[in-house]
Amino acid sequence: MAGRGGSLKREPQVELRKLDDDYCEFVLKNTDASMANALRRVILVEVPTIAVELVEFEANTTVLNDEFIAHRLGLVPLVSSRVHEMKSIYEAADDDDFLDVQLSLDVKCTSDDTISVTSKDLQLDPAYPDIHPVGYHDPCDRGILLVKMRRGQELKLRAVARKGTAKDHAKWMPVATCVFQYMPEITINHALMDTLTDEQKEEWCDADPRKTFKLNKLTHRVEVTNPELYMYDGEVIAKAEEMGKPGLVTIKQKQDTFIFRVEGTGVLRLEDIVLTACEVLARKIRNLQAALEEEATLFDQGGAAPMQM
Amino acid sequence: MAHTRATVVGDRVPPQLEALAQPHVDSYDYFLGDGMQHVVDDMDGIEIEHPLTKTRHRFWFENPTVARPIREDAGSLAAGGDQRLFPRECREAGTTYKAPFTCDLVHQTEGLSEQRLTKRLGSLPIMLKSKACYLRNLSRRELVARKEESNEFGGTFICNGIERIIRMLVQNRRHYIMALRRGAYHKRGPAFTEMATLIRCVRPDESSMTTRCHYLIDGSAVFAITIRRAEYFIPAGILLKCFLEVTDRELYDKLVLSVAADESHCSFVAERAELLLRQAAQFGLSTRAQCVEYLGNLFRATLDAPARKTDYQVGEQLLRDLLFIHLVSPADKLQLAVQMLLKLYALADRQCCEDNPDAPTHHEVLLPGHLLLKFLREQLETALDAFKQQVRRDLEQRPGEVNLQDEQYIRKAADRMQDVGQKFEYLLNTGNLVSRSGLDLSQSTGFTVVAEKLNYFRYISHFRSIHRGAYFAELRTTTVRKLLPESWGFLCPVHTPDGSPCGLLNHFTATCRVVTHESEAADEIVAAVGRVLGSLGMVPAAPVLPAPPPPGHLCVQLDGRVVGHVRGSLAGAMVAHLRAVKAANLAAEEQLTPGAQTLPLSGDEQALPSHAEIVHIPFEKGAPYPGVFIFTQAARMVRPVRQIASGAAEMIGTLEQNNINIRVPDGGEGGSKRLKFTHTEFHTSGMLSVVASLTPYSDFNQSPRNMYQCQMAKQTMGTPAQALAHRTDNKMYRIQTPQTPIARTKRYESYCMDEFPNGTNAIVAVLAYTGYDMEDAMILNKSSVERGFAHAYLYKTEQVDLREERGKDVHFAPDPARYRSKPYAEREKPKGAFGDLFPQVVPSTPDSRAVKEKGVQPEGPHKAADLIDSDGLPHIGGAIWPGQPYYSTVDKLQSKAAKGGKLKGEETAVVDQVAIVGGGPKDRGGIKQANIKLRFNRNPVIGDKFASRHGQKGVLSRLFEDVDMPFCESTGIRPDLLINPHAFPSRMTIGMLIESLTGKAGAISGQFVDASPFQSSDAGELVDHTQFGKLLEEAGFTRNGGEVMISGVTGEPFPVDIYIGVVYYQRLRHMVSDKFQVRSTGPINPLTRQPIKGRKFGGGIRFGEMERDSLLAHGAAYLLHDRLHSCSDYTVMDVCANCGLLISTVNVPQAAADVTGVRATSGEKGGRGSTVCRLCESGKYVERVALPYVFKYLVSELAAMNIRCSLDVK
Repeated sequence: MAGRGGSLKREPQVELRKLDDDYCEFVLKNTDASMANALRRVILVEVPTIAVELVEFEANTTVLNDEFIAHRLGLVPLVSSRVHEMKSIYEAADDDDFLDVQLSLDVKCTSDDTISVTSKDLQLDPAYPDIHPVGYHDPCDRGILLVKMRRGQELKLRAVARKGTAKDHAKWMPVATCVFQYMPEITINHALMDTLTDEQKEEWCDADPRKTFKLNKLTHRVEVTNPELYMYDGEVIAKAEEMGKPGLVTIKQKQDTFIFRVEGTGVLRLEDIVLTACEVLARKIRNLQAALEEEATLFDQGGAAPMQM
Repeated sequence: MAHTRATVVGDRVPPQLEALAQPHVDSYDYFLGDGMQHVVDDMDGIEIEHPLTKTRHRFWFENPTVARPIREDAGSLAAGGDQRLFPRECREAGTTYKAPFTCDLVHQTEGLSEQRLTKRLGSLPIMLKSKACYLRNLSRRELVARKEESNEFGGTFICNGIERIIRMLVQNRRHYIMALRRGAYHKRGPAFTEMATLIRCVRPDESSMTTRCHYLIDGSAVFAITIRRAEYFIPAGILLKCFLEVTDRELYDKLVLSVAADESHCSFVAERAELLLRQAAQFGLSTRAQCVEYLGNLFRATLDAPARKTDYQVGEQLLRDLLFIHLVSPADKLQLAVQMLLKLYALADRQCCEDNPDAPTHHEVLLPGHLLLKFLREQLETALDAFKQQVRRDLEQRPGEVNLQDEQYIRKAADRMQDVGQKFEYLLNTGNLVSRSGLDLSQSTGFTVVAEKLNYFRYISHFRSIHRGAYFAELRTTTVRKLLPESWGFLCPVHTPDGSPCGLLNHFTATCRVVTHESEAADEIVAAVGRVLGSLGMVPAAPVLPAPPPPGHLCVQLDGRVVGHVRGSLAGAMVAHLRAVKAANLAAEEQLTPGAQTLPLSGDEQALPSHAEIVHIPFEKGAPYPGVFIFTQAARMVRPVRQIASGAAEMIGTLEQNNINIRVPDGGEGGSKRLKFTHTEFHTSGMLSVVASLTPYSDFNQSPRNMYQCQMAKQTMGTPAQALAHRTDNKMYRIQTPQTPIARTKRYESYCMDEFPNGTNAIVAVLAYTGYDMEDAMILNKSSVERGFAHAYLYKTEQVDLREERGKDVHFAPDPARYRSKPYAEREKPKGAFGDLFPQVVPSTPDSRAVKEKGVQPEGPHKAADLIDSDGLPHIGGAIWPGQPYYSTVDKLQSKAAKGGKLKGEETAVVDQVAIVGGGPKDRGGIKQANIKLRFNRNPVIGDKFASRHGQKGVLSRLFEDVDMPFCESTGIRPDLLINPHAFPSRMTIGMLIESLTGKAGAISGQFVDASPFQSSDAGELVDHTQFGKLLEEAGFTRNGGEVMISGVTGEPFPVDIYIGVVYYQRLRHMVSDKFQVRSTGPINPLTRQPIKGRKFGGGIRFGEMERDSLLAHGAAYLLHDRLHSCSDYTVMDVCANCGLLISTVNVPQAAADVTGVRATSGEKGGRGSTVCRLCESGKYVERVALPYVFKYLVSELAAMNIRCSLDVK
């Protein structure tokens, strides 16, 4: 990375730009792509959440078959604020472990109209009323459609929700998306730019669909409004070449600054997701450190532990 | 951009869907109605003379009637109530949808009045939505109530529960004289040349007869007719004299004066006419009566004429029934014979060119109804024959007892008639035509096919397909497969399969229709059209006078009848007027072009059918033979085009199209600046079939790719039907979460394809990533699949019918003998690695809610109670593992378990549905028949096949982790699917790239995108496609569809933009689950002990000669040994080193060895006995060697032939 102009200071810094219920944007500085990508990957697939994993049907006379409904139930996002108290079945150690949340559904259509069974029809586990589908208590939310029913049809089932990560199945993914963007680094060759007339400058600025550039009417100079708007479409560079002025602007990706955007699903608070992700990363490092130390000790004692292949 | 939902609106089955099966349903309706009546009208009946009373009796059929389908099994007859039989019941019960067929057998004793009795001739299979079907004219709601598809358009028959259709076949155009050169004609005899003219003549009942006129080496001609598959030749000179009392001079004039005023051709014809007329004289025949008698005498035996008929009468019969059968009057027949000769001479003298028998211009369609009519005629004739034979036999044996006026006797004799319905059923079930005469058809098998409902595209394609004929499939030449310009607008150039049926199995364009029957009052129309023609300048034909020759005059033929001649200069105006009349008649029938100016019509003009074909072939030397030919009869392909002058729509036929100038949008001046266009196409998509016109942006693709897409669309797992619960197809594929394509053509909407969606919109990135997408492999996002991408099911229906077990009385019941030991609660249940429960049924215990509240039966005491309910049938929703039983039966007579069903294959099934057919448990016999529908999960796995709609198919090579997928820097989108850019350059499927872009724009803006081909041509100006780029830019994407993407593995951006967008992907039905073949050990052939072949039996894949060669070439000796020996028939056997024999060694038990005194070989075999050589009577030379077992077999076989084969063991 060093060769590509990365920062020598390796103290990552964070600048939080925006944080609300379902969107979070922060800038990660002074680090490199491996770090940023590690964080992205952990946020996507290693932050545990709760999702329906096992469904037992007692009655299903709807048009959708058992597997189909079970699959749809699995994809319903459940509020997972208590996921840290739970253990996944892989981690289960003793009988008192908090493994399962029992949800149930019992709907029968008695009206002549088609009714919709949604995530709001799920009955929560009395022991854990705070584990519920997203939007369950929100009167404005219509819930997630599971199946439609006509008169006489019935659906009765028991669903067991468990802790898991998206490495196993996409239903445990805590976010809609998590993406980082390289900060663009835009250098305008003002000497060359000044050979253009104002009209030409204006025309050049208009070539960029995102309007990254603006002509300052007072100074007659072209300025960058917001470098992040630029999306590497190459339109301005092509325009410059078309105008016979190649090299008017050079645009590079800054190798040590990343704009992170995390879009949530309501399963977890976004700050919790990012923090948990950092925690997971840290735990990995700690585990690695511990394992290395142990190995080193054994090695010092006379190489008792042969290298494991 | 379009905004409509492509679903059916309203309670009527959409007419455009009904139009798909129009040729089938309408022709079958004709069969049921007028056609059948024509058959009995045209039949002769039989005559029997009583040997004692000498009275003559005539018998014939009248009044054929097909009732409506009713139940005829004993149970429902006794039950009373609704006797109607509905198609869905037939599907589920595996029976045939048929209705009683009756005819009146009329008998008349000479001089007495007629008597009639109604004869039941079995039951005819009924076509769905035909006149006799209950589904006719039902609304969609009513169809659903009948448990049918809401969009059912009929056209199929239900034969033993399976939907079959009669395939449409290509036939020679009727009533048009074709000039041909064929090598086969040359081989007819030493005097024959390769030239002939031929005409296929068809009666109103659709029975047909082909007459040929061969040109002989000496310049004379013979007519050829076919009687019971045998060919007969009649000299033209004799035949010409048979029709009318004409002098040789008149005949000579007719031939010579009608010839084009070309000096050399005139003398050419004159010479030959003279020769022809001498032919008769050679046989000593001069008058008409002599000629007819001569023919009658010769054909007496062939026609099976009764002795009392004179030769003259037999000759008349020949002329009436076997020559030019579409014409009644001898004068007309003579005119036609002369025309055939004239065209033949024109061909021989190269005045006209030959006609191409492979071109659609000279083709018509064998329609289902017409095939049935031909078949019916023969069946009724056979029935009458059988009756006649019976009576004749009775008259011979006991003439005194036979009273031919006694109804009792006639009824009894009529019982000898065959079951006509059964013969029809056989024809439909097998597609085999059993016929004495061959029905003037070129093939005898393959008339019907199963209308597979694999998906909707495949289903509708069956109704639009037309086959060239089985004969041509074997032909080694490929000329018949060629795509000819004549087929433009009628047959789709894109929609033909590749491989063996390529070019032979074609599909109609969406706008092509078929005339299914001629008008009811055919004679009046002929008269009216004749009057109209007369008013337009045609001079009516006179039987004896010669017609004036071209180019001054053109012969006018109406449906194969010479009606007159018209001045060449007037012909153009006459034809133009007739076209205006046609268009006006069409406008009165349907509104294709509202507001267009049409002609006010006279009464006679209104009689001209709107589908009439008016062909004007002007005189030109070396071109097709000139004339004005008008066709009003059935089986022709027609399609609408617009007249430029009036703007009105006109239906044109194939031969007609060849002789008018139709402007095509984008077609320029048609190759010649002087060309005067008279017509124009309605729409560019008029050239495409339904399936082909659903390919988006097909005009941007290389053409073979569009052909591949037509194939693949028909192999897609989609939505086969909506009435899934009432279908009993053997195999049915269904995609779980189908979507409507964002980029779709106009036809997608007009055909309401959203009723049967076929795929999923996928986010597709085009990049080479990791190498898992090489060579048409594609990568799917594992998370997308987990969220439901391309999830699908396979449904298999097992139809279990226990009624037919001979000597047994079997019904469904739990196995009485084998009680299980423990109730389910105490049994060990299968568990997964982490205590997960496998999908399984948990039967109700007596104290469960279902039992208490709902009266569900608790788990029975029988074996496998968790799988099989107390009625012997499986639990609905239950999972069945391979090898597990899913139904059990009991034989009442022996009161023990009979054959049950065990799940075959390697996949777990879920019981989707159990349908009990016929009487329920209350019925005496118990449940005897049931359809068990099993559901198999077929979610995507590596090796499954996917395709876009542009002939780009690929195999899933890897399910990639979501985090490893590249992602878009700006949006964070990870694609569902990655394909390799190398898929594009050589295949040039630009349409797919455009779909990707417009699909993306459509997805972003929430609008459907019109992806119809040739949009600019139709609009007449360049359609602005930059709108999509603008939409993308507005939404913050680049306008060219590329995006900056970052590798999910390293987090580094790719140096180039990646093309990413939304493409509609289809999942094809070829899946590894159906194809993988693996074995380590398994079943072997008992004779050779080598592994058997066949995936079904757990066999291996042959490691053949060429595979052996490649290993030899590599020097991979160990591998070779492993494949051919260790993993095959490796056997250790004993060989005697002394005599070298492999088959003389025998294992002697210890005790026997002691008795015989033969010493054991060695101690190593312990007490199990010893191997000794019988020849050497010693065991001490016996050695153990490893050999292929098949070698021992070879040695034994050789020994049987007295060949000793000894091994030199060292």
